[in-house]
Amino acid sequence: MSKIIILLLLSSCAIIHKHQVQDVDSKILKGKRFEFLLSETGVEVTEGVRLAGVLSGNKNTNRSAQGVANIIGLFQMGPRTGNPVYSLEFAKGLNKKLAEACKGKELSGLTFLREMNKYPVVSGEIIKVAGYCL
Amino acid sequence: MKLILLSLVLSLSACTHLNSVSVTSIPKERSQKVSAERYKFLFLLLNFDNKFVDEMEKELAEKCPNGKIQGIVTKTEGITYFPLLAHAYNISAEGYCVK
Repeated sequence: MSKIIILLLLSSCAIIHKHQVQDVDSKILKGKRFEFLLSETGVEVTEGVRLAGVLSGNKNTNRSAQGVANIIGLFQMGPRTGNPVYSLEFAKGLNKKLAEACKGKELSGLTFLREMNKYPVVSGEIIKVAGYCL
Repeated sequence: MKLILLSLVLSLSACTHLNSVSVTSIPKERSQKVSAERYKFLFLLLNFDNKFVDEMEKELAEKCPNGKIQGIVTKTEGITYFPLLAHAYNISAEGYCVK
């Protein structure tokens, strides 16, 4: 039983938040495809605190953990995709990476996939960019 | 009994959630529409990769040889057929073929 629980905890779930297709030139059929990922670790602190409370096995600790999780939750309200990341640099290099992907060539058929690999408490917050050099 | 029936009807009806929608610049020529769609069924919400959405742009390009596809509306939808048990993703892209 414990092996199954560990396996379930270690397996991730891939979640799609957004997929976007930009204008497509049919020349992409003869173009060269490129793909890159921008990723950062996301942390669901409230889930971590709740889990710690449950694992402690102590009723009072569990109740306190729930209170702490609720307070943290109040500071993380609002629309968002995925878990909070603690890096302001996440996705900052997107333009530069796109420019470097096709040096001196035109880009077309760009697609952006905002996805998340979810594990317990932590997650991989990912932006997958693909396109073609014409 | 009525309550059980009502619960059954409610739980068997699907819900669709719109996760995102995006549009690119709409062209003047809008006579020929092209579209591509991807669908993935998720049992118990288990999904280990999102490769099924790859190369939608290629499918659009194949449907518009020697042209450009503009005004592409991309929709990302989540479908709940039955809570926890049966879910699905539906991604659609529709645009205009400009020659």
